[in-house]
Amino acid sequence: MDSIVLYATTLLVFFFVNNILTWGLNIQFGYAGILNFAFIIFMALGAYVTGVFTLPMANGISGQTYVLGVSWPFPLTLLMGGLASAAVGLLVGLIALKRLRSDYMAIVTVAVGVITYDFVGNTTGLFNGWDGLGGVPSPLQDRFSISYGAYQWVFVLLAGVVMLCMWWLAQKIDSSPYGRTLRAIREDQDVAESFGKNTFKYRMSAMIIGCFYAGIAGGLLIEYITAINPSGWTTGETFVIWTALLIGGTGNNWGAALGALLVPVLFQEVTRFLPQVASNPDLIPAMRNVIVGALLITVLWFRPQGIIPERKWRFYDLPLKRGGPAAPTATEGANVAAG
Amino acid sequence: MSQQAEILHVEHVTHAFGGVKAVDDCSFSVPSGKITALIGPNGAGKSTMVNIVSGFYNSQPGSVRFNGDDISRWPPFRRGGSGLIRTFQISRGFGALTVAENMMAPPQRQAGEQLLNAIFRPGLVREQERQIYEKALSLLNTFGLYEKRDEYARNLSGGQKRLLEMARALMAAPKLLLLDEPMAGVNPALAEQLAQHIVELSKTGVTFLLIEHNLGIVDQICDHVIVMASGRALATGTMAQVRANQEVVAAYLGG
Repeated sequence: MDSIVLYATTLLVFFFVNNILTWGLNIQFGYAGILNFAFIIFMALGAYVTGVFTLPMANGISGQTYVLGVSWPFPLTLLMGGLASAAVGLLVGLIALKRLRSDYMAIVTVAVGVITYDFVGNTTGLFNGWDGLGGVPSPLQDRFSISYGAYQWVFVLLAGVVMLCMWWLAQKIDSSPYGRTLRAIREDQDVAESFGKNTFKYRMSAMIIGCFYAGIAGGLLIEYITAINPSGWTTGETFVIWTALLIGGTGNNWGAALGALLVPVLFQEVTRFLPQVASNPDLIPAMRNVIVGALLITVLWFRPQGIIPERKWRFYDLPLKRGGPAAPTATEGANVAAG
Repeated sequence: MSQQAEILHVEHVTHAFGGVKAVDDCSFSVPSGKITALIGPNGAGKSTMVNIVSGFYNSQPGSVRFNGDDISRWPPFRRGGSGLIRTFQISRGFGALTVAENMMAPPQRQAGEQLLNAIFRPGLVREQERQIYEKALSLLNTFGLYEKRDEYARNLSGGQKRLLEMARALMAAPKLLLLDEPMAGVNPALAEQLAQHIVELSKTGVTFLLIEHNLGIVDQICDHVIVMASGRALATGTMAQVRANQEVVAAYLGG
């Protein structure tokens, strides 16, 4: 099979997955101001749950032990992954969002991340422990009698459709009064609360939706690479997504997508395919982190709002002082962005 | 007094920070449809009282009744939702939102605040947004902020922020507006302007409770004055009545 095809399709799928991840984090941090430093565990949970819904019953032949194993069909497995992450997001939110604010909440999420990591690794019966799940069948692969290379494009298409659905929802949040209320809460929770906004409920909803995004991204990832183990979602991986969002621009889905393209895809993945330096095999991975770190510092120094910042919502003008009836212009909606 | 006559009734409210009782067994009521001032020396417990009434502090023991309901255990958002709207001593707001968005965030029960409505009922949401925006613009026009509508709120001057705070509070359809030092750090001309707005709004049925140190303004616009000192309500009445009260003179007005 053409290795360049595999290279291109892999990058595309990684890009789609990272887009969804970054949008999810953007909903939590960019709009609602929630500092979730355990974001990657929600991706991992989505991956594991999608995996155990896809795999057949653990029978000992493959040497794996895991819960469920019900061989559900494709879109359902992905949905279960998303829902499982959302449910865990709800639980974490109950701890972290009820009384805690910003930095304390961040510490709780870090703790949740570490606990989850060790728990999943040490509980072999859950998701096969430190060895992780493997051999997860790719969706619909058996339905197509096509080559492995051609199937890659089928998956790209599937992932692309999922991504577009997530994009559509993220843009709805961006432009709706719901998103405006989230941003108001982010700016000043007390003021929003004093205007009758149930800020806990709103922040919780953003937490749940963001975790759902992470779960869907994780589900897509495991359906594609067919395996996941704890080394794929260490605490450090959370900061790759954070870096992507901060560099691309918070509060803007275009910015988040640009960040996903720049950081996880270009720096993390493309460099993976670079030739190794024989005398120093660790050079490229180390350089990768150095470059990402330097890029983050540069962006925060010169453009703290990110490359594509939150957009300024402008609305149609009303001829208030000039007399005549107040008439909306042809743009007719209220949320008409002009910038 | 009947419920029509008093909109807010605070009874035996106490709040301590550590060993310091900022509010100590304080009781008073605020007549409906009037402008009431809460005055007193620094440290009298006025701001603490605002935080108790708006639900940001819990009062143990004591009760707060608003519009006939015992709201003592209500969380702040529920009090805000029932028409008890407050402002903050230091201007606060949604800095990274535009002035227009600052105005559009407060209204209660917007359909589009439910994500499902925003997705499945775009027509309803659009129509409501149009109404909210037009109301926002007309209020901004009244408060002289129309030209600033597309400016980020954080870029406004101190005085403009005060104006925005009051205009924004009105978007939430308040029954009672708790203004915590609305004229602090505001030049006399603008203070006069804010006072006029308060008088005009009072005529439309909004009740005001304002904490204010500018006694000239209080004398000019307030129907009713509550004097607090050392965590208690020392005296209530018209400005002329409290001026004649020896205790009040000793505690606050000075001899």
